[in-house]
Amino acid sequence: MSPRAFLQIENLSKTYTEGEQRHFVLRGADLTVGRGEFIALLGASGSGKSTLLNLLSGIDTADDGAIWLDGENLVTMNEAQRTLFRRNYIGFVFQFFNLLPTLTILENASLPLELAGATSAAAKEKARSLLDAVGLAGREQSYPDRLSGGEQQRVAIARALVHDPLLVLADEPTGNLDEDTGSQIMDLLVRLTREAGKNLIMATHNLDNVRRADHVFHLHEGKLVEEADERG
Amino acid sequence: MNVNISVHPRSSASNSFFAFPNSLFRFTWRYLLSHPLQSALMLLGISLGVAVAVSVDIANASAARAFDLSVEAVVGRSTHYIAGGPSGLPEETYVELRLAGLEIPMAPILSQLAVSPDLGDIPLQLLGVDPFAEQPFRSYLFSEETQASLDQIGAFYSVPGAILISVDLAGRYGVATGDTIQLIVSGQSRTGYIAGLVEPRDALSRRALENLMLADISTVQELSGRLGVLERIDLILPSEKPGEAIQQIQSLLPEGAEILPSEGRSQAVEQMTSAFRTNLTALSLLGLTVGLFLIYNTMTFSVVQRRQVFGTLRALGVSGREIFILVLGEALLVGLLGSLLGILFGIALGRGAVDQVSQTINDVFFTLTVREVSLPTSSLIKGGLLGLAATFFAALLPAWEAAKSPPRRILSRSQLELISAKILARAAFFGALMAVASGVLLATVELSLGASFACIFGVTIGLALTTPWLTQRLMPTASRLLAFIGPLGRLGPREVSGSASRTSSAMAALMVAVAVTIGASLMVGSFRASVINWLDQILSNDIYGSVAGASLSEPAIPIDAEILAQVSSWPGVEAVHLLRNVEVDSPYGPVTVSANDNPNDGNEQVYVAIQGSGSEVWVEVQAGAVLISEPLANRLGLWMGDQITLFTGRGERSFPIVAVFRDYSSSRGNVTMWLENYRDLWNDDAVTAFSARVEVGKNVDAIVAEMQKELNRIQFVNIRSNQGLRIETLEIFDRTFLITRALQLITTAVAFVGVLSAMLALQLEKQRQMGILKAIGLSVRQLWVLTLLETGLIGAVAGIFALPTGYIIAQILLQIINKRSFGWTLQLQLEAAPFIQAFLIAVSAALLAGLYPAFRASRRSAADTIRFD
Repeated sequence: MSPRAFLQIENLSKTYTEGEQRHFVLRGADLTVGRGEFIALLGASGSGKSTLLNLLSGIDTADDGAIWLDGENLVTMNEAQRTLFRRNYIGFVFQFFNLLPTLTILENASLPLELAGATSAAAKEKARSLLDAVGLAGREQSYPDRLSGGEQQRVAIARALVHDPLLVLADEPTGNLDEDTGSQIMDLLVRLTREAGKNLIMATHNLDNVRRADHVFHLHEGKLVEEADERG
Repeated sequence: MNVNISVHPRSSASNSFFAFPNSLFRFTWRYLLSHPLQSALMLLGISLGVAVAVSVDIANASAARAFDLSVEAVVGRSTHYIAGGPSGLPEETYVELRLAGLEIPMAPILSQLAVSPDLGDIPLQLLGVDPFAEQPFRSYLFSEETQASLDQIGAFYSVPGAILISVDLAGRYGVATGDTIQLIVSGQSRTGYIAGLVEPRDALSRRALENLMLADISTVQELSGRLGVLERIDLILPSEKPGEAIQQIQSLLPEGAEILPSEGRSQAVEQMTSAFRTNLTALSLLGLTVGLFLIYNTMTFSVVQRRQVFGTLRALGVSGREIFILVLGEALLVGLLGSLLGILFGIALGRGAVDQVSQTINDVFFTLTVREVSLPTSSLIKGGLLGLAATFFAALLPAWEAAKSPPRRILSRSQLELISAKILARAAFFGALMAVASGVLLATVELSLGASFACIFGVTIGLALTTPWLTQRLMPTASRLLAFIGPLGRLGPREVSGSASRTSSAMAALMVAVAVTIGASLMVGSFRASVINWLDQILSNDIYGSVAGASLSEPAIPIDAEILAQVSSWPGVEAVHLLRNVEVDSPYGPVTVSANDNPNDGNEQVYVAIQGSGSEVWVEVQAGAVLISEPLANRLGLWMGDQITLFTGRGERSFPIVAVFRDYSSSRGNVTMWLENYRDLWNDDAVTAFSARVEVGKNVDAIVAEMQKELNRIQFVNIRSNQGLRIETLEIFDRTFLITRALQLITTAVAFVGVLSAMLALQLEKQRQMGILKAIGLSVRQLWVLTLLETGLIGAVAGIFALPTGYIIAQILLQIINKRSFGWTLQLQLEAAPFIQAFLIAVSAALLAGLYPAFRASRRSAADTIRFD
């Protein structure tokens, strides 16, 4: 692992089998990310962006290669270790928000911290301050179905950061929002992760989002290629 | 704005695999609350299943408790008793034993069932005892605490008809010390005098005294007309070397008197009803089994509905095991509530069931008065545990399914159905294997009754598991057949087939309930037809008479000789035949003997095993052989060609068995012999029933009415015409199966709730699809048609598969269960009606269950449903 690297992907491969056919999604992908950097992942639909995020979070397992994150190799971890790793060190922001409908937004936002072992009161206090930061103060007791798409994504950002993760992964976080709301959400996400010194890796099609990234990588034929000119 | 998000130091990160934050509990709890209908249906399914199991258990326990108390009240602490046979023991025997100076506690007994219009007209045990000898045997009767006053004791010995009853019994019917009451003993009206009231010292004594009237033995001798006779002498033999004591006593006894263990007496009676109770328990567990499908159905749906949510939780770091526990906990929470409700509901139902069960025991087995509903803690705990266990097992698979939810990735509906198709195929294979294995076991191995029922469950559940897979194969044909309706006709079957993951368990549950309905109806119908055929054969005379209050099938109260004389000379009566029905002792325990003097009886039986003709066999019976009934043959393991040993008045005798005959009147069975032979061996001239043939052209009903009126002046008797006896017998038969029908109905209700729950779930899930169909022009009417077509098809398929399953269940019930429970075999009478009825029940239940979902779907606007997702 490179001395400057906070996250390093080495020769990562992943295939899916459908019937008799094997589909190569990643073929020896490499990537090195420094601490606090914001990485944008570009690529056509089906190019493997979401797969890469799944591998980075330990949701899915690689066929070959290594993923070094803060000195630990995810690829060699078993299911239980990966679950614990995800619980403690990864924050997620999804395209469809994926809030739990039966929990209030405060409970949604505090859940990862509670899962990580914090007391309910401490988790709620932290979640409250984050909800305040994303502009949802006073709405803590609302349920997700009472919120607009943009507001739901703000809750998701608060949830992604509440347990002080090492890495925030975002999969098309503005894909389900209008342009203005999307832009506001991106501002918020980037600002909060930068202020906290967190790494953000985002899969996106949106060039406006890409412009805010420190590095842009293109996924093409299973490999990651840095394309600086994409940032315009 | 700067936000400090580093309040949580890395070092304190959770390493525990089971972190259960409150939010997860709230997530579960609120899910249940936000789906009230779904939760309520699940609660209903569990509580109905538990209620049926608890109520039957309570009824069984109450009957068993009442029985134990009546045995306890009469047998007391005696280890053995001296039996004198049907004609009893001469009281001198007791005197001689006393004078012999044996240091063995002994107490003479003469008991008789009696009824008093002043004490609620219910059968009470009139127990004649010697109070001075009683203390070691039935201490609660004459202990210091229950001792009546000296005045009362004086009256107890000196006033004719003096009896003691419990304070509770007196209070209930408003009688007091010094009152006279009417008593009907052996069909005779007598006057009883309440010499005193016994205050029970504890709850056990209270219950034991509930159904007792105590009297001095001489009083009971007078009231029952059995002067100088004892029924038995109870003994407490030393636990060490009882054989020596037996030899000592035996040498002092007259011919025909035997020393028998007390235990055998109560055990034989206990065994009589145990099969009946096992049958009821099995039927009650069926309700819970159907409920199991319902729980599975609801839990599966709740998991499928939240697949995305579980995926999110997994992405947030919740482990599969935690989700497994979460879903299981959710099910157990509902299971716990459902079980508690079920227990309460079961207690309420139990009160009704007690009446039904005790009625059947009275009709079929023996006189038993169940006054109190016992609420044994064990029944309640058992019911609760059954509910929780059923919930646990039914929720295991859905919980496992939820735990397997891949993080974040959401499976499409078609993928889910693909997975479901694989599960259905596996379930069908496993089900077929289970059904075949259970069937083979039933056919080849001599199993206990409990194990036989387990195998019936195996066959039924096994076939139920194959139903969804077979449905998948059937739907393309249904689609072609219904194509004439138009696009909806094609769409309906496809929807059924395409939503197998949601509807399979409901369909299987309905199939089980309907199959059991068919099986039970065929069994009861065949049984009834067999009884009618049998009655046709055995009831060849015109008039039948026995003492009022005696059992219809085994009349054991002697008829007054004056009555027999009058009947023999009654104008219009051509011939009279006499019957002595009596319980005698034997090495196998008490056995019923039916001795008659009908020279044609050999031709009036239906034989299971016979060599030669009925007339030939009867000649052998007249010469000293016997016939035994099928239930007795099965119970004792005896058959034609064997010998049966009985303790006669002249000692132990063995009788050759020359034929085995069908008998549906008693599951204990009986030995039929020639009356003259019986009288000779037992020295007993009593007659307990008679039959008479009327001259051709005479009005039988008029003679019956006249006889009833005239003979009642001598003794209360029941005179029935041939037709009247048939009607009464069939009434008892139908009453016996009343509880079976009630339990069946509840099982169908549980299955109905299952289909309703499945259809509601499906409708909820298909809101968007329905919205699209409405948006492209489906009218409200068409939407109703589509929904009802779908549910109707589910009902029809369940009904179709229930037909052969029900037939198989009926065959097993008739050929195996009935034989093992009651000792008789029955021939299956195939009739179309039970099949048609059951099929219609299945379709109607399913259609009914579709009404509300169709109504909901039709009310929702297309715009809303499309926007919903």
